[in-house]
Amino acid sequence: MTQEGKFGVTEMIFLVLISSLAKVFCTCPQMDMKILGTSSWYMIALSALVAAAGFSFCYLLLKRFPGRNLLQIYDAVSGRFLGSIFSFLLAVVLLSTVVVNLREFTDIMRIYAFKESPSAFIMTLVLLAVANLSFLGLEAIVRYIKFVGYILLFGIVVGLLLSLENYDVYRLFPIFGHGVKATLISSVERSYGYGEVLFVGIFAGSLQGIRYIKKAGFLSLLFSGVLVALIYLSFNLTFTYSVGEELAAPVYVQSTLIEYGSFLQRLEPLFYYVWIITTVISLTAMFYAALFIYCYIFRLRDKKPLIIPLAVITFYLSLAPDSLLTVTSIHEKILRTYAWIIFFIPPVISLIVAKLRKKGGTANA
Amino acid sequence: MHRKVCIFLLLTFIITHLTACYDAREINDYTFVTMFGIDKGISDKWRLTVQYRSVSQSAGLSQQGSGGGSAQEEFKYQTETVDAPSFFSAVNLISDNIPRTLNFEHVKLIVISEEIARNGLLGEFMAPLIRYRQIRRTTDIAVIEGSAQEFTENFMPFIGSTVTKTIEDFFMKPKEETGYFPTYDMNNFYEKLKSSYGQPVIALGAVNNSRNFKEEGQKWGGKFNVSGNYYAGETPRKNGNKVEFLGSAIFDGDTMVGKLTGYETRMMLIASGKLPKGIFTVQDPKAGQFVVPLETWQHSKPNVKISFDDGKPVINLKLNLIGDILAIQSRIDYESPELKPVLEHAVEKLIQDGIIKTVNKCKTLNCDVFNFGTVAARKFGTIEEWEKYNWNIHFKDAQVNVNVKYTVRRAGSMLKNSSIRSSKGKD
Repeated sequence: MTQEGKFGVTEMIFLVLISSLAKVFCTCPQMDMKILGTSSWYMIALSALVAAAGFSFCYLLLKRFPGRNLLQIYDAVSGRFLGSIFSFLLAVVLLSTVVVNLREFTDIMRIYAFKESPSAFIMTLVLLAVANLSFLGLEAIVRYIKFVGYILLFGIVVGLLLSLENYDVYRLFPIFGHGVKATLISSVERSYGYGEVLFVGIFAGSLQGIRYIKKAGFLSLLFSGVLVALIYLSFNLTFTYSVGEELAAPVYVQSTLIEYGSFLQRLEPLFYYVWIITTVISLTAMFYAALFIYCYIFRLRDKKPLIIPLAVITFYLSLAPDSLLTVTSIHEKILRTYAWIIFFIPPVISLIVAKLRKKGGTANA
Repeated sequence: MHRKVCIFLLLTFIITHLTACYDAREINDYTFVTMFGIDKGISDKWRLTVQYRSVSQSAGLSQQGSGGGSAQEEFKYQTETVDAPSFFSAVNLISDNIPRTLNFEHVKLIVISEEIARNGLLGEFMAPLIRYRQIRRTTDIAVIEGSAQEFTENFMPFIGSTVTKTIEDFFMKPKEETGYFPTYDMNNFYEKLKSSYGQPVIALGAVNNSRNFKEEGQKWGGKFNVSGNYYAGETPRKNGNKVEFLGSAIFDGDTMVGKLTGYETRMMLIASGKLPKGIFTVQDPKAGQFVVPLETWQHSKPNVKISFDDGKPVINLKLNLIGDILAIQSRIDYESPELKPVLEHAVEKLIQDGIIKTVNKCKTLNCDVFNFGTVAARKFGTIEEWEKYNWNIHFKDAQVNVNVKYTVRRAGSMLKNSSIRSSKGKD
């Protein structure tokens, strides 16, 4: 198994949790509100359950092939060519998410905070941080995430609590939004939002064994599901469906509404810290995972020479769409609709094939 | 060696960035707008009046501190008005006339003339404004009877404070004490503008020229009048602040279709649970020439139950209020267990009648400003069903039953009222 240093379950949970959170700060809540209306908050909780079901197959696969990571199992089950295709698709989705998230983050930052700064300048700074962390390696990344993770979670919880004054329960009604069918379909599609749980499978070698993989995977999904659903619930309680579907950065706008008299107001600069650090961490995690998969497919031992070129490619791909509207359209029509297939279907196929071909399991143990 | 070069490059990078960008904007590059008003223009579509603050240093030296004096800063407020085809063109035109850039990040109040509101131009104006990043959604908003330009020019700090503080205090007070005008900000207004749960309502303001203050004429006598039953600008008062907020402007979509007096606004707010505390004055039930003021609280949130009878909404509103007696002019012993219910019943009737009258007024305007729609929405499963029903159309057909329960909890600092004794004996 490819070794990336050893770390514990807590570090892995933080890696998945913080990576999944970043999407919430950009256009995802708006997109889900637009499609589902008032039911988006429990749709996102349901999609965590869907992701848990998807991860179960991944876990069963990892259990069947002890000591191997997901990419090695794809190769072992489907052969190197097909396995590499599965792995490559995963890398493409991860890198696409980095590209889309980076562009959304940059444009929204330009709308609200750095109006005068060129997009390329903001992107360069973010990618410098991403590349720098990637040079340090996975172990350093996850330990850093754990270090700042507590502060970020504290900031998010404080933000949710301070928004209490703006909550109104009526905004959750009609309770089924645009219908049960739309909610259920979206909960499957939107499970891609928790696709980061596959980091547990990709970096399985860094955990201490299958017992820890199971714990890290399901706990990270539990925490991510609860926290993301709480943020969505808070968003739904703050904006009616007709206004929520308009906002470019709903969670940010929510923070601007916090006002307790003339003393406690204009708290959004504090929110910037949470938003920026979470985004940088999330981008780093996905960027590094994409790099890791690429190096695995082409059997490259040293990842470092590829970091800067991949960062440059990411930079130009992020600049390619002509506007934020194009980016959100790509996000909504491609990533949001199909990415879950790339995340969760290959493990299911691999498990079925492994069972049919009687690969792995006790015979191979 | 390699390490030293890296550290040197890193330090150089940090130092050059800490000096800020070549195109950095300092605070004194901006002129911060505190409030602005919008009227219909004459030379162009819109008339924008901005009020901004300038700091000047007075000639005298202050005596504060032990290390000698320093020049005292005085805040002065100026207004500038321009006609332009859009808000942003107007901003550019004004910015062109002043050496600094206009900045709207500290705007606390937006006032709009009634003429604009009545002509349904608010949607055309508000939609682009809410998109503008410099204007916060928490900015207060009001419709002005008369000219927004005149209102902006007359809006000055009250007793030494800044305009910003004056606006904050203005809009904080009704929430906590009076309830004579609604304190919905831009976010609330915009939400209601696009809402299927009800219609928007915002504060009504005006310049008070003391035209209703009569120096001469027949004295009022012992007739009873509910307090605050005026629209903004009509309060019979003299001197003090030139501007006032009283009552509310009611909208159907983006068109102002009516207004509520200060008294009716209180009824609206109390019915929708937005008035936590207020002083209500009731006619003395046993001596009509006197009044009894009571400080009143909402003991619990209004209980609203809605059912549908053949598609028509039936609204049952229950209010649970408590209060303290502030004064009894007649000195009748309402503190006693026998007479306390008489006073309570009088308050219940006053509030119940006030709410029913206000509801009926809003029904004729077809505007649910009581948030009843927020409860009705619970009866619908999906947004499609809810929007198909269209609450904003059906509110006018609603049957509204109001039930008020009032309990006098305390009688102020006195438990009994002794008689006044004169040479003629006890009264």
